[in-house]
Amino acid sequence: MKRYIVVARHELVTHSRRKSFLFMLIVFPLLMAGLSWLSGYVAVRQEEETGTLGQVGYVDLAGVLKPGLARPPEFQPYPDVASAATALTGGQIGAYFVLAADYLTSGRVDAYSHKAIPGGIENQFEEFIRANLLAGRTPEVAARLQEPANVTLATLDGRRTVNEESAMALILTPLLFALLLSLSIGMTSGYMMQNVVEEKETRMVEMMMTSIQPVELLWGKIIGLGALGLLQIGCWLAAALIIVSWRPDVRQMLEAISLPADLLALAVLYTLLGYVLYGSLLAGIGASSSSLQEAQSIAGIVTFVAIVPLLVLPTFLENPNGEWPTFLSLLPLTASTAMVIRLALGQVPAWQVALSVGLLGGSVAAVVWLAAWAFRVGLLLTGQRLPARAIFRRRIMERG
Amino acid sequence: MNALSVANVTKAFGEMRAVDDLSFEVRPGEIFAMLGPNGAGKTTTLRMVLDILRPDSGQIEVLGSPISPAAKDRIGYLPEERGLYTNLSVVECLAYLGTLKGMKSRTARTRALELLGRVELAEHAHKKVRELSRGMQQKAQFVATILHNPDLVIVDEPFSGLDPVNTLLVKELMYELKQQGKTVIMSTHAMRQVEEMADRLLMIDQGRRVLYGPVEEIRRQYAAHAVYVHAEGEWASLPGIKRVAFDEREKASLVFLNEATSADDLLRSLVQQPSIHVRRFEMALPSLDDIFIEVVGNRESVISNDQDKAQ
Repeated sequence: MKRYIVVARHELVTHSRRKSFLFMLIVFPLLMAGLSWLSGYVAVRQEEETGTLGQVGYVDLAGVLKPGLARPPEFQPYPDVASAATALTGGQIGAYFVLAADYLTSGRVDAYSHKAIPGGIENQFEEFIRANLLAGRTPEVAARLQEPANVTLATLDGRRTVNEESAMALILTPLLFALLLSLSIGMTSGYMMQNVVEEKETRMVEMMMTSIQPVELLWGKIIGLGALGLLQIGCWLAAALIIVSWRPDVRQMLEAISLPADLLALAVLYTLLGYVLYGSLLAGIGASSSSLQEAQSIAGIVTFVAIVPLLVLPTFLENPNGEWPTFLSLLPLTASTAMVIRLALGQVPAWQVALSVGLLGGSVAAVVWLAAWAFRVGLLLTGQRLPARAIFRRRIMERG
Repeated sequence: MNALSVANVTKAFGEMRAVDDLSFEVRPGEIFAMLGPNGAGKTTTLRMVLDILRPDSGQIEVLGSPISPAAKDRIGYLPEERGLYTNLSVVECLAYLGTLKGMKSRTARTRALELLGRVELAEHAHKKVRELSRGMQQKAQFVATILHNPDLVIVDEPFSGLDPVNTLLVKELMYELKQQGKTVIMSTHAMRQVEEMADRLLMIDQGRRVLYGPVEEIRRQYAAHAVYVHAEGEWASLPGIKRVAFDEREKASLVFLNEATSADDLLRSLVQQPSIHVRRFEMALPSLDDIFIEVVGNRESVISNDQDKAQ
């Protein structure tokens, strides 16, 4: 068996048994399930509240509500305010609306109730008024006036369409993608750094170096911990799908989105490259720092860069091909998240994609090369920091 | 074919030459000792042999060829700074290190358990490494060194941190390796072990070779210029005496002579002085400790002389 596979398998197995990993694996989906249940519960409670109000009275002082028109059964007309007030006190109705005499010019409607009136009831009453105001128009005109435009959104390249109900999803999808990506990058490369510093501190690495080339060791770790990250994200996604299947509204929203295969393929490519870049970068930082604390503070800054595209997301939404989005999608440290957001939002010139992949690939090669060297030398210097200048100078000398 | 041959190897870290034009050979099947004061360049040399560091110049051949991944699998290395994965069980940790040397997982595990039994750690095999005492970890690490049945075993300070019983245990294992025809290189400060175990030795100081050859031959060589003296009177300042040390074991002064002075010369000058009464005069076989101090101490006195002159 290839040595890097031995390392990868070892990293995957030992890390997946760690308490911290299992904790994250279980707690995160539970948290999501909890939140989903809570939002569902709130919606149900609102509906229940609408029902608990019982009959609702109304007094039409303006004379706009036509007696002949079908009205929802829970709405009860009263001839004057006094009788409606008596009915409310008597408990026959839970609330009543009064259309002021000058309603047509002022639009004034007063509501009376002993309890808060649920938004659903108000909406129903507004719809009832609207139907009355539109009485006499042809049904088509009435329908159009009720809903003047049924907008279907399309991305700039026209390959993805989303109807109005799932418009939120159009914005959410790239956000979700980028979030998942930076989460997996942050998490697995965090494991990576911890692992490398630990190996440095326990002095394991000198023995390892007599069995395996530094670059093989690095790749073994990248593959093993990457697989660990995939396992974790996979489990979370599976949990998310199960949770979503309980919520038909969310499911409908997601089903309305179409993702072309090439976008998915590019997203996978960017995720892989982004992960290897950050993984080896943090491994190199771990190998060249004197302690976990120091490594973590440097890593904090580095991983912050990865989420910059998420922080400036409005700029992307405004114009995915603007200056900043273009710059961030070419910069290797932010390319993986920035480009995925841009691709999800619309068409990106092919040369920019090619350039971005090229720059990212080149950076990956350079960082892996430097990190492998930091492994060879940095890990031998326990409790010592490896100056960045030395990494470059010595690495070049060794080659030469 | 030599187990190891190092030819004109130099390695510098910045301005400092850690290893300076060093050459030596290790023959197959011998126990070879590397000696030298702290910072002499022993560990740097070993790291170059193991391809952890690359020499600036010179050639290194291990088991007949320049170091390669295949050759590395035939080497077992016990680094001076020990360490095992503290979170893993002993047997898991050893099995992993074995598979990294190309062993099958199952074979590595079986052999690890067998060797753990051999070093009296069988009952601790499934404990976490961090639950073991330092001495136990040390033995476990020695097991990791020889787990894959290497042809060349390189051990850096193999006895440090071990009590006498465990020292004996590790010593026996090293003899066993020798009997099996394996080559053992040990870098150590434990001179008594070297005297007792090593066939040949290399002493380096400031990255340079200062002594090299069979242990007995080196001791005899120094014997020609060392005598035990027990005498009354002011004799220590006689010409020809380089240094006088008191040997606790012999309860006599161990006298090192200048290159040009023989034991006969000293005896003659002693008896010629009426104020000196000689009670004992005997040719000494100096211990490696004495030789070490003689060789390294000389260099230090030369340095301090130079500094005096400079001032």
